[in-house]
Amino acid sequence: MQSTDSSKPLTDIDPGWAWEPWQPSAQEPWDERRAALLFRRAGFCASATQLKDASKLPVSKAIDQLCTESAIDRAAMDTFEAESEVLGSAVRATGDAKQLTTWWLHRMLMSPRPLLEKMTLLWHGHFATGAEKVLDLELMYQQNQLLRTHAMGDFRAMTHGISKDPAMLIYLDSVSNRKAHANENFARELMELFCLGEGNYTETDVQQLARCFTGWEIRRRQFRFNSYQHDTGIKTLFGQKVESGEAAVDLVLDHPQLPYFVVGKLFRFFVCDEPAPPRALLEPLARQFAAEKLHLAGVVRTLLHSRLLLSGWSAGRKIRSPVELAIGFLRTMEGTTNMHVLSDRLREVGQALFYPPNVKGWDGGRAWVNSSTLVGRANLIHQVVRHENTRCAGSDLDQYVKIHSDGSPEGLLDWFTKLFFALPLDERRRAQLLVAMSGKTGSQTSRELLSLLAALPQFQLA
Amino acid sequence: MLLPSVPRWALFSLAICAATSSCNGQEREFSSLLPDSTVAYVELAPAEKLLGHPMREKLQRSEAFLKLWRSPEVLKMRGGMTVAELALGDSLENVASKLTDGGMAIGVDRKHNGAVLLARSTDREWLESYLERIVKLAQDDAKAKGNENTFKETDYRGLTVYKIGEAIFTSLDEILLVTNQQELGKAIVDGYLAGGEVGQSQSLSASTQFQLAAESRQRARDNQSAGGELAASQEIGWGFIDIAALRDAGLAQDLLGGQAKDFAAELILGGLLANLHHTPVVTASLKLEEQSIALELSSPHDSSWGGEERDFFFGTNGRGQTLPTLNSEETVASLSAYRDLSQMWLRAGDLFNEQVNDQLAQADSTLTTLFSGRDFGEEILGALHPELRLVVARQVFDGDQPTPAIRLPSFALVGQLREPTLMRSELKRIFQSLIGFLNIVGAMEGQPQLDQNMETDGDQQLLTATYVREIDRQSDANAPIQFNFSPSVAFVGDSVIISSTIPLAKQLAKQLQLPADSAATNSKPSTKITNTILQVSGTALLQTLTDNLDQLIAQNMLEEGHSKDEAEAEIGMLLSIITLFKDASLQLEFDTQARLSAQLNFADQ
Repeated sequence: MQSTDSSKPLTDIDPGWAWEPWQPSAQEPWDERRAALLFRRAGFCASATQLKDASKLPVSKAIDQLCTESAIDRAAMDTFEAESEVLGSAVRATGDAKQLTTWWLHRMLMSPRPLLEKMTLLWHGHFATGAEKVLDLELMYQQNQLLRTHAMGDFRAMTHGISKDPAMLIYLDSVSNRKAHANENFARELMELFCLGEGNYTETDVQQLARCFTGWEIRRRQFRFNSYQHDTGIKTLFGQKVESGEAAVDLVLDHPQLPYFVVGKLFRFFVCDEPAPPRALLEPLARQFAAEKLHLAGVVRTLLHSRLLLSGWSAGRKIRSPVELAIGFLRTMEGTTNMHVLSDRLREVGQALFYPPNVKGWDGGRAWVNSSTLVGRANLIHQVVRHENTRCAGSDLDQYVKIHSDGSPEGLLDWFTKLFFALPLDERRRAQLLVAMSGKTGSQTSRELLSLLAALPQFQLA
Repeated sequence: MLLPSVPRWALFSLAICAATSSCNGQEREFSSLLPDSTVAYVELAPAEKLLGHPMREKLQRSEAFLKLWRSPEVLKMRGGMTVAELALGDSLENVASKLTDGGMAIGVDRKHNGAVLLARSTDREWLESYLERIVKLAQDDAKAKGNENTFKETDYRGLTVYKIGEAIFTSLDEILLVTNQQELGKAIVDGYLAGGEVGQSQSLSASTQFQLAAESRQRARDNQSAGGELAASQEIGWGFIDIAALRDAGLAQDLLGGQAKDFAAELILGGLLANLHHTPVVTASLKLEEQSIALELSSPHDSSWGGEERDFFFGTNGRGQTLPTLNSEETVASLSAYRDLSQMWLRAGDLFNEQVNDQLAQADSTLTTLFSGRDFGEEILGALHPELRLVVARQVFDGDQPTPAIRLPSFALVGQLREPTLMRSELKRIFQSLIGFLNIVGAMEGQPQLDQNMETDGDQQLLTATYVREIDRQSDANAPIQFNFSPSVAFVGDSVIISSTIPLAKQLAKQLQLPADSAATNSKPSTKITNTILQVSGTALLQTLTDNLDQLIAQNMLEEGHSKDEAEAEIGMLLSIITLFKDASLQLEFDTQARLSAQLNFADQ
């Protein structure tokens, strides 16, 4: 699945071509391999059956089923949400924030709307908040639900929500933001990390914005405006007079840089980790985002349906995060496993949900892999396939594999390659794997091959 | 005849049944057939005695059994059973009954590293014809499938011996012999054919360890007769393990020798470990009544075996005796034990390895700080006499109090103070400091706060702490897990109750004020030195689990990767199994014998 443009550098790509909806052709057919690329980016991979079904649909309909709420099976969603609510209540009852991770992993694995969970994961890393400082599982849960509510919706509403979110205000010390001593943490991160990026504001803007947020407090786990601690003096942000915190957030959101900053983030999340896209390439997306009043769904759909993504140019240009790797593996194999164990293994390879490393969230991209985490990621898959509670479509992994392949090392390798690899395996590597698997028969063949594949650098790519 | 998909267990059944003999001889005890290198031996009653038990019918009617019976795995197995029964022309139940109507025995042999099964059938003719049918059936099946004949037939000293892989089987008159080691089989056959002096001198029944086990078993029987417990006639099996041989062979060293690596194991089982470090044999006896099943393990014992370091467990000269158990409403479990915790703590250097001692040293430092600078081992644990009682009870939350989403059972430790006057005020101050400490830590973490109170009624004093209801909380339902606790300390005479909740502390305080014989509702007058008593109520346990059904299902989904339906089915199965049992008890006694008795009483269905 290589297009003629696959080697082009980003700077040479015509924005007009990039964001046009991709259409299948004889050279670039809409097939299971291309569907697999879409599902890797727009969710957490898909099973062989899902890929087959999706490849039979027109591409726009396949994308609708991922993006559009009305196209999703309502009954399945209601059943899932009811089940997830019970699980959520149960893990919150334990009072252990680490248990909350298992609830979210379960959502990622089972949700009929994987794109929604993936977008929630994006915003969790974007509006990063760590449970180790918040120390309140309920507040972490509320923030996660806030992010989910707006994940595909209104970025303005999400930013306003996060500005008053108790977990965020605790994490960025806004609770100590008083008129006598304005705390600049949240104001700075709102502009630097959440909305505009460095170089688009001044230190004075930070100080002025922080004054707007004075008196924003948390009392009994809820946002409270303490007018006695609010600085009522004249504040000037980006050259405009502003009074309240809400108005100041709107000023930040109305900044001309904001659409570029947000679509740049989406670009990196869906299309490629590096290099940073040129402003000209982002311009059509930024204009669409602004024209749609900062609603996210349209831009996300443009990205997922774009020539740049589906033509094959983007294949293998992203490194899977540990969560994408593990949940993707399980969703591909229609698998379930012990979520507590999975949560622990993810922590070991650097992605503990609800515990981002700092306010910048996870760096992503190349930062996910080094000599240590590469081994850890391979071990993670090794442990999942060998865990006693791991089942695929309700049965043993070997039985599941037998349904889909002839069970020979060659047959298994072909099937796994189609499912798990963004780029085809070269012949040399394929031959090496077959040598390693020669003479292997019986129930451990698929497990051993999966362990070998998981150790390959190509396995880490999306 | 072709036998499709006959599972291995069915073939094994066939193998067991395939026996005949050409050798005549008088009826002999199973133990006289086995070599004296046997290290574990079990004799079981005829299978019919088990299969005909009334509980079997109850089990078969139970929801758990029906669920299991209809599960895909069991359906597959039932298919195999039907095929085997059709081929044999008889039900497997009948086969098992006829095959073992003279009893059966299992032995594990150290010298030959093998195991042996002996079964006696009183109908030798049936056995002979049955064996012929089985062997022919298996041979025909293998031939039809183009497989190698798995039954290799050979002759050994005039006996027809069959081999299936590494296992062999043959018959000694009316006794079927099955073993997984050919040499072990030969030794048994040789002994049997020798019949007289040579066989006797090498047999298990003539060995010292067997005599000791038989003696120990007889003492246990005498003891039961005196105690009015389940009669020996209800015994469906007995056996023994040659502990001395296992020790000599260097097996299970953690259990049979060396220092403890686990604090909890030493606390609970320290005395038993001391016994296993010295005793030559352990015997076991299994008894079945209409409404109960009981297992008793016993072994020769000497109070000096524990040494001074285990005085914490046995008491001075082995005279440490526990008190009757206490009960409250909704008791899930009640434990009464003689354990001198202070002595155990202070003798840790003799009892545990270095790693455990390092951990204990750290714990000692932390606990000493927590208890306001009082030495934890000497002053805090030392405040209590060694007769300790623990009660675990289901909690019932009424409508006007916060009800936690996870409903934990309450628990209380009851002990007697060595110096009541001094310790009352000391413990009161420690309790107040501890609650203050918990409030400070809780406030730092945004957790609910505890409100302290004190009630006095005559000589009785109750110190309590209750979590304060969260002001802005909309509902009392699904409250945080902390609301399972209302830490309390009650002083009743010389006794102290340290309870996780106020209601349990009050109930136990009331019980302690009753005359002693009323409090001892669960004890029987006895002259035995009882070290530990544990009682568990199946009904209260079931209710406690049912209170947390949603939580159990959710955790099953997350841990087992089950769907909601699968999790509900699995938890439902667990609960329906518990409904079969009314209660269970466990008792540990020491005199010249160490005895561990466990009894499970079935629920009335």
